[in-house]
Amino acid sequence: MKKIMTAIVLSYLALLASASANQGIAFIHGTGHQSDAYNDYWTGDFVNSVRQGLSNSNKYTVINCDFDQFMWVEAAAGCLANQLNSFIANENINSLVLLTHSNGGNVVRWILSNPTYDSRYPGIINTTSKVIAIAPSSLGTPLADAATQGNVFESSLGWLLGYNSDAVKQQQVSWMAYYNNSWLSGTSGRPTLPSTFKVVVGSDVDSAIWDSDSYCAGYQYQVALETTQNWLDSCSDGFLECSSQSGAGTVWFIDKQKTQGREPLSHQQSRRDCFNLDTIIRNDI
Amino acid sequence: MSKSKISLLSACISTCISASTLLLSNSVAATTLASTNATQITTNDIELVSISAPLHKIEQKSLHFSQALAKNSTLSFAVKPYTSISDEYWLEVTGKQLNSGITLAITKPGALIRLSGKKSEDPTQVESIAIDPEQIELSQGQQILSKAFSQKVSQQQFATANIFPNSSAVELAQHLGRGEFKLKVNQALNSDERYLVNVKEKGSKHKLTLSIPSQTLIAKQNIMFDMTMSNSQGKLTNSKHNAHIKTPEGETIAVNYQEVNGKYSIKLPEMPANKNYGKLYELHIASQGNDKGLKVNRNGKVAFAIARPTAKMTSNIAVNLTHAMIELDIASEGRYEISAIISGVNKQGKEEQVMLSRSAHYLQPGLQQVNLDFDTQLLKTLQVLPPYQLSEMRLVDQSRMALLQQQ
Repeated sequence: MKKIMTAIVLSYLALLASASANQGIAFIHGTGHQSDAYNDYWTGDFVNSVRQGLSNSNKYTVINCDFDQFMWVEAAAGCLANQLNSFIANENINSLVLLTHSNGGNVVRWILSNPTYDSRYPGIINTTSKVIAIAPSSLGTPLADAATQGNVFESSLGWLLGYNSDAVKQQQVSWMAYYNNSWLSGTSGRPTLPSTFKVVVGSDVDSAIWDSDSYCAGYQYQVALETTQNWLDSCSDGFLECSSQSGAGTVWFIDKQKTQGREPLSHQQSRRDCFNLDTIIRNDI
Repeated sequence: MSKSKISLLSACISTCISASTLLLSNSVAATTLASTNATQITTNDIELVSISAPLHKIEQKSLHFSQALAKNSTLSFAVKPYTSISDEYWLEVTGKQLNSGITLAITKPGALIRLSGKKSEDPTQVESIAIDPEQIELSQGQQILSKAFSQKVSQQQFATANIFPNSSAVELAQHLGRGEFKLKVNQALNSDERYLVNVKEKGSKHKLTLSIPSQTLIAKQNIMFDMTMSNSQGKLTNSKHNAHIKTPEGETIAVNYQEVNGKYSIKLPEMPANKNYGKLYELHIASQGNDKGLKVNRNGKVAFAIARPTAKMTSNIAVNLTHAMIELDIASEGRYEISAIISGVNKQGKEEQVMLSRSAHYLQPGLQQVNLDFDTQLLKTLQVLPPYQLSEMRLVDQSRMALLQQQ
């Protein structure tokens, strides 16, 4: 009887908390200079599915910033801070979920790790209830190193959704090691982040031409991503090693643990409605 | 009152790793009393530099932030070494060379060769033609090898995912084994076009290991490092290495290294001030070795920051119930953050680290008294009582993204 009463009280309290919380979600893209991330980065199918997890599904925003820049510059973290603060103020958000993909996780981590750097940051930190970081490049990627090989070639070699960008330089492995050890929180031995930073890890690329699963988010991407695995270890999503993705915060799940058909999520697929990823996130927020 | 030590980047004491690394001292806790009290901090003489304020937008307001530490956290702000292990190499060639054929040393069957054409930012320059992997020919000695490649990746395939634009790749068939091969492009290329050839030998037993004790250095001092070419049995003797520094602006500076007792050092040359705050320098090593007649080429690099000492904490800290007052010697206008881990006395009467506090202020040159504010409500929640103590103190130049001082 006592247990039942406790359960009722807890449920009531949860309802009260839910009623008082004005929850919102922000979709934060990865490397690239976005002006229409809703269509070009995430797709409407993904965004509109995930936001159904909110009590008011209209409380969402899709961020468009220049994440070709270093994470700390005005066009990156400053732009993100402006858009998040506007969203918080306009929608009276008091419980903010940040959904990031790839390098978007680093820009968010910059804000969460450096509360005294900019007066726009503390309000965001205090409102953020959790970060769901899909395939974050927390420890960088050897592909960024490969893309900047050869001094005279920096201007020529490109990157996913970006060319010749400072964000690529930033995501080189030894560069991220420095930033993690000196400027960012959330990695081993460093201060914890002030908000939960839960990570979805992409662990493989499936590019078998006969497998229809290879075609989610575009087959041509899969072929390229399988080739890039030459620079990566055996557990990777084609862009990032699993160790990098899980290098900050806590691992929520590794793709196959929760995806439909235990399918892996390539770096392209982990920002699309592939293998129930959208539903898994929707049910968590 | 106990004395504590805080070491500055340019000071070297018994615990320092090398002359050029961020230094740590053993004892750091500042003595605190319930009422305002003074704590002595011993600092070595530091030559600060006066430089103009950065041009980019910098926050002007003073900001304070405290957060609770996780129970039993093992926080350490100590400098960490960094090690890079390379199983690849790269070289730059012209279109003419590719049409004539270039020699590549392969140490691992199944190596991947990527060819990336330079796309010049200069509109008057001709853009290089992406190489069709069907036009790549491989030979050994005088014999052209049939079925030389197990995989071919076209420019279109790379480009659709925006990976390595203007690039193509071939993977050597496993049966070709190791040795020297000649790679030739039969497609007509412009003679002066430039290409990067990257040989990636994933899982090769031949590696270049490059490590530095710290990624935070100071100007004009030595960078210490280790570099070793090895196979699965150990170090390859008689390896040759070339080194250069790449500046944040992309300039390449050839440097000579010295070897003493198996360790290497390079005296950092005079380099232009880093205009790109936060952007890093890189030490590049190109190595050539020989393993029982098999040529081994490897490239490696590590990134590091060079801090310029624009400010320092002086020797006095006063700690009270709500904040610590810290004196800073500011040589360059800018925004500075001081931070520390705060300890109090827990219910068991023991000192416990409970909170990380940080305060940042925009400061003008001169001696400045600044507050490191505590979140007193949080301290109450964390159930610790005075006297409060400080440890893991750090001074950061936020405006130039430079870590200046830490315990």
